[in-house]
Amino acid sequence: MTEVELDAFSGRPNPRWVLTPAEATEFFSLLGRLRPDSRDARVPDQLGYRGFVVRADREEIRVFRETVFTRQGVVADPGRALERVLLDSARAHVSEAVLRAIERE
Amino acid sequence: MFKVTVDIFSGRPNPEFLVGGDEAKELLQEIGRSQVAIGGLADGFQGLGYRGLVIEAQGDDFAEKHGLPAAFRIGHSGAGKGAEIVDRILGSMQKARAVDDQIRSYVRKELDRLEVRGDTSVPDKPTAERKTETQAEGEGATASAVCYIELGAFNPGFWNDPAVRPYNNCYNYASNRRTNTFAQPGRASGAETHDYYCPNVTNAALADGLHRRFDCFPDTESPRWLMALVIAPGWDYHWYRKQLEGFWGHKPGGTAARNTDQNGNIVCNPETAARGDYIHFCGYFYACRSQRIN
Repeated sequence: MTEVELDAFSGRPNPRWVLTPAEATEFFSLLGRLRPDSRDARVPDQLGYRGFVVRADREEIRVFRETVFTRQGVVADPGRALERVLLDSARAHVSEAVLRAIERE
Repeated sequence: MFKVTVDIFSGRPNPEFLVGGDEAKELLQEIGRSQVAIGGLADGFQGLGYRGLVIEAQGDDFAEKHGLPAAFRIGHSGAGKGAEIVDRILGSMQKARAVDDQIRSYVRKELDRLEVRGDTSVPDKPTAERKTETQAEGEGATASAVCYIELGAFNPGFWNDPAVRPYNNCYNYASNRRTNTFAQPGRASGAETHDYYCPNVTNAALADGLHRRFDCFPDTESPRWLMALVIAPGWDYHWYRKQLEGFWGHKPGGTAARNTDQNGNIVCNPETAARGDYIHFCGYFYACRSQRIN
């Protein structure tokens, strides 16, 4: 099972949902093609949008704009393809208002 | 009822003991009168050797009943009556053969060392201090109100342990109640809201027992933490708590507790701190001992 958390809130709980098998396959396939990020990237922890957190098989992956944080290191996603996959998967689970706000990020 | 763990060993299991009934009640009252002696689980010396006693609630009404955290450390510093309380607990444990004379003597020596030298790994200031704050005339009152509040020392370690950090949010932090439930204003009182605007979240918090600022709580409701509420309208809410050092602490969701704002500046005033989309300042409130929170 691959769970996704939209990490955006401070008070109210973050939305969580499970990827379909097809979504999970697409996500990990794209992830596998990404290259290490040479920039000095910090895990976002500010008020507001902090990315998507994907959890599967004890692995935790944070996708925040063009940067993907994994246990093995940071990889670059300059086209934000992973974020788009997760945003598409969110449509069935998250309100329109939240989706519109995240799309503006 | 609570569980005591004597945190001394590295390899072998630490001695544990359950305390219940009248003995538990008396001990907790004494601990409640000497709150400077207690600390978070991450406080104090964390290396090899004696690290204090860990007290853990066994009932979910522990915090409400006793005004104490559900889990805390005691006897890890030279503060307050910690040493006396620890020795009393160890006396009971020894009677019940949960510890032997060797362990009790060892802990006594460590407590003596802490009292004489002071534990440099914890702040040499009390955990909380009582303060007064005065509402000036003209701020919506016909006469000045003077309220007593408590300000606690900034202790992010208590909130940032990976075992608890994701499960406590801004409301937990500002209320200073680590419930591990990602608490929501009003949920414990059947008044939770999903309309994230000042009046709605305010009413939910008031339903939990908070008061607006300058609507004083009596001393029996101590500790009375000073909290501030801000809103990202229609989106979310966020809380801050005033700390003893003079700044405000906060915890954005499951992220780390901190005393800095979005720009990395110390939060001296939540009304003017950089807060991103949390643009509406709703006001100040007091937490209280009998606050319901879930």
